[in-house]
Amino acid sequence: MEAIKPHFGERDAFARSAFNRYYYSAFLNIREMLGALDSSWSSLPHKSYPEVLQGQVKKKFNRARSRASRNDDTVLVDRIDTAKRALDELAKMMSTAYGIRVVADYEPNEAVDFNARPRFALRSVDISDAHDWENNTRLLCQSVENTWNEIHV
Amino acid sequence: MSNAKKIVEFFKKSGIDPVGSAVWDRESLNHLVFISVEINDKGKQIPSNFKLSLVEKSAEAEFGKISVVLVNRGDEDIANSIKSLLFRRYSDDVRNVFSKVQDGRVTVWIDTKGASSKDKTTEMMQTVIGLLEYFDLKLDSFVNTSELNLPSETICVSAIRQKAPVLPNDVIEELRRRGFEVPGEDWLLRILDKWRKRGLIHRKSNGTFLMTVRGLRALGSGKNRRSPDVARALDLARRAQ
Repeated sequence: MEAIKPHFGERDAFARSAFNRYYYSAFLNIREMLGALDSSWSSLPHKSYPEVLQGQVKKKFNRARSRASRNDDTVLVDRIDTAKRALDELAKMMSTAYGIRVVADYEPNEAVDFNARPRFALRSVDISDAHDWENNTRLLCQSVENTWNEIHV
Repeated sequence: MSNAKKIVEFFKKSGIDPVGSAVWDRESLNHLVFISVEINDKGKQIPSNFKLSLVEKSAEAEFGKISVVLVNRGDEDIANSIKSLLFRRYSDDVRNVFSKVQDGRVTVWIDTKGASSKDKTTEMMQTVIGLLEYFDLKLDSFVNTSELNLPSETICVSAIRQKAPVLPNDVIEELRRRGFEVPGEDWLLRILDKWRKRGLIHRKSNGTFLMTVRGLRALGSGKNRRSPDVARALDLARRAQ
């Protein structure tokens, strides 16, 4: 059998499709987590995810944090602080992934950079980093959910 | 000149050099501006979030809604070093690692392949602390998301709230059912004693614990399906059956 080398257009399309799919894998993780935290957060528009994570979700954690702080529960305060940092990271990751997905889907004139190291990149985001979106969102979502379950019992 | 070009010029004049041109997002009807950030030797992000937010707001006043997209986190070198160290040394245990540097302090999240012991997690944490010393950074927290946690004081008392009047052994059973690791009755009694002395819980002569009004106020309530009052009502109903 002989491998067939894709021509430039195909190579570009395959690369865009990879960025698109990595975005959706991260999006689905966060959607599942938000749905588990509160069912009313399970059907939000894509673009609003960073705002909800850093707005409504964080607000709930802030309220629980001040209560825990008033009760001198330093362990819970630390856990909430860590969960809030995870929320910031998730929001940042979603914002980047969403932006790159928009470029991949709607800016066909902007070519994928196949000279980038280590693999190929779009807007300076390497596909290896995009590949990590799924794993990283899963890890951070777990951290947020664990702490959420401690403050909502 | 198109708005996309004007926005990029605006950012450049404000001292921030975007990556590529601004992109019109037809789904959200705003412009996306891609900015690359880095972490300086003091562990601070450059450009800072404060500066980014100021420039974003000024640009929005002139060109309408804009979203700044950070295309790298700036701390990849450190994050990759932590990741590769843990993967190399604990390849049988670690499934995933993510870390974040903020103001010279590092938070590390790990996911392990199976249930790992507390000792193993502590060993991994010490390994990371050793590495961070080379970067002149401090570890802020090290979270193993697969590990059973010791329950916080709040959750111990919230178990009393749900089950009251309840014996310490039943509290332990409830906490273990919720997925927490409880070292033993003495450990729990120390916590409950602290809350009892502050008048937040009450210990009856038969050894059972219950909440005081002050304690209920301290824990607060919620108006949703996960309200602790609803949980208690359901628990009482289950017990009555």
